[in-house]
Amino acid sequence: MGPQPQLMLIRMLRALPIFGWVMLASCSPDTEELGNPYAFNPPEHFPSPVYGLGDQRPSPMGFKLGKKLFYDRQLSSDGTVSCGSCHAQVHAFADHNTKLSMGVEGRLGIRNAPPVFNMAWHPAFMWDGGINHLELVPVAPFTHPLEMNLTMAQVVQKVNQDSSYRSLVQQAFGTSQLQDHHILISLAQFMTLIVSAGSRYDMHLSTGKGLNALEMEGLSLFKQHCSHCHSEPLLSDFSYRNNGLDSLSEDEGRALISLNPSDRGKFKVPSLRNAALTYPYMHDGRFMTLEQAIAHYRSPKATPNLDPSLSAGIPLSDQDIEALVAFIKSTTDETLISDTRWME
Amino acid sequence: MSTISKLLIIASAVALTFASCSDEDPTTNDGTSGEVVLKLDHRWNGNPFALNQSLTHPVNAEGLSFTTLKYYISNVELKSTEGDWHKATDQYFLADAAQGENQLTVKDVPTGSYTDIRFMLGVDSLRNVSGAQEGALAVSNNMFWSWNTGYIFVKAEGTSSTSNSGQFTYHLGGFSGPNAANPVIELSFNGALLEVEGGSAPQVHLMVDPSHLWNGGETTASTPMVHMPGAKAKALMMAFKNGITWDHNHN
Repeated sequence: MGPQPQLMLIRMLRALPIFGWVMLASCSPDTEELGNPYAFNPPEHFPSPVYGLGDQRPSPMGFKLGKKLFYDRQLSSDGTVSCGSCHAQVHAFADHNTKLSMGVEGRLGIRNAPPVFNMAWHPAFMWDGGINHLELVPVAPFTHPLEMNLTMAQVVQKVNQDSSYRSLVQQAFGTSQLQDHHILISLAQFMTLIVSAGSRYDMHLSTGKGLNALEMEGLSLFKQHCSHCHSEPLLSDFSYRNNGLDSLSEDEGRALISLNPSDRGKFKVPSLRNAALTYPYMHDGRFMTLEQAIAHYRSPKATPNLDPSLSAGIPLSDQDIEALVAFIKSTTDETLISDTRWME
Repeated sequence: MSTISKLLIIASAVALTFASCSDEDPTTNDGTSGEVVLKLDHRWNGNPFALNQSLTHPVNAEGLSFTTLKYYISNVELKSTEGDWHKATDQYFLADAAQGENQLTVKDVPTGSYTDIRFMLGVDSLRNVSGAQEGALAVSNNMFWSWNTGYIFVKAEGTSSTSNSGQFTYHLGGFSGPNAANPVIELSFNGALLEVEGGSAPQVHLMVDPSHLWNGGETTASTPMVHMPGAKAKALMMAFKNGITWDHNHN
């Protein structure tokens, strides 16, 4: 049996200076009403997120701790790589336009770094969807020998030994000793708040205005040829598909996770929001421009696992591609790349 | 809005928050529940087992030595003399042969007499899909796949005289679909009773024999390495499961 309710309330109020914000923010929607700039407000024209509401609602201190962790280069084996090294705000939190990303000691990764925005809507993460929960995403780059190359125990130790974390940790979790789940939850809170819904395309979705004639033509072509997989409004259906890049994919892709040979060469459909900022394209970064990436769909390579919707290719004229590129550029979100809340 | 009404809003929000989020204080010795200790004694074909010890497999005669043996036990349930199963919820244990005999303390067991025990070898699917966990399930315990979310239910590593690499490395798990590898082990006390009373901690003494990993037909020569869920991981888990037996209770 728990203590009496009155006693609980007194204890809570006594603890309010330390815990109040955390408790409020983690469980209660009242934060928005208190004018909290760190509240997670899903855009009205988006579907329901899979993360970030209810018990997972970000708190201001959790967000701030997550931001500090995100930009901390000490959390890598040689002190050179932070999350932000390969997920740069100026590129919609993708890498600095490199095919593959550089980890500790100059080691090159194996797939193109995906952008980090609207993460709360993803049912699974990474090109192969191997990670099933936003809070567990950071474990992969922290521990991968080609990326940050630490154990999670080492990450925890580094944070607990760094006095500059102490006050944030205390405020966010009411403890002096952080544990790994605190780190993962804080980073998830930081990522949850990186919402991209401020483009002209979003204005079009909300008001019917915002796109010029060429972009409207591009949107029309997009609905006709692309939105089957790059579903509106997030511009991905988050499924796994083989888009005919190779007749035999070197990278097993989704099959690495599912163990199903028919998933070989299938990758998670990426959102095309902010795609003008996130080049190069595809899981291996093989296409440098949007024009090249779109032109690929005229004649995808024949392969047993090719998505049926692409078996005949997509007939696109040069003018069609120009219009599609114009439309994709209309999804560039200037507020995403200038918002100081998540700036290093 | 006045300061007082703001404070009232905050106070009521805090109260609501508390009501919706807080766990009850764990029930302790109030006379209706007690603790049970699971003692795990590691054995090799009936003999004492330790890490870094030279071993010969009783079936396939491979020469082996373990450097690591860790495994999860969760969802412990006890069957009362009335035939009802009582589950110790939200309790997860990571056993480690490096500690020799392991003693896992199961809390909040209702007082009563019990005839059987069952538990999961591994971690239930819910905890594999619910994000960052703590305690025995913290990812820093290195019993977790970072690239393919899921807990490693059994980690067995060591040397082998017959595998090409001279080693065996088994990271066994899998929580979904046909490759689910988290079996429930049900063991009878063979007529003995486990008496749980407030204030005492009776013991259930289990034997864990890792030689059973290779009693299902696998060898370290044929399968030196398993690093992900799949048919191999499942086969090894199902074989290992049979190496966990009940020995006796202490009331």
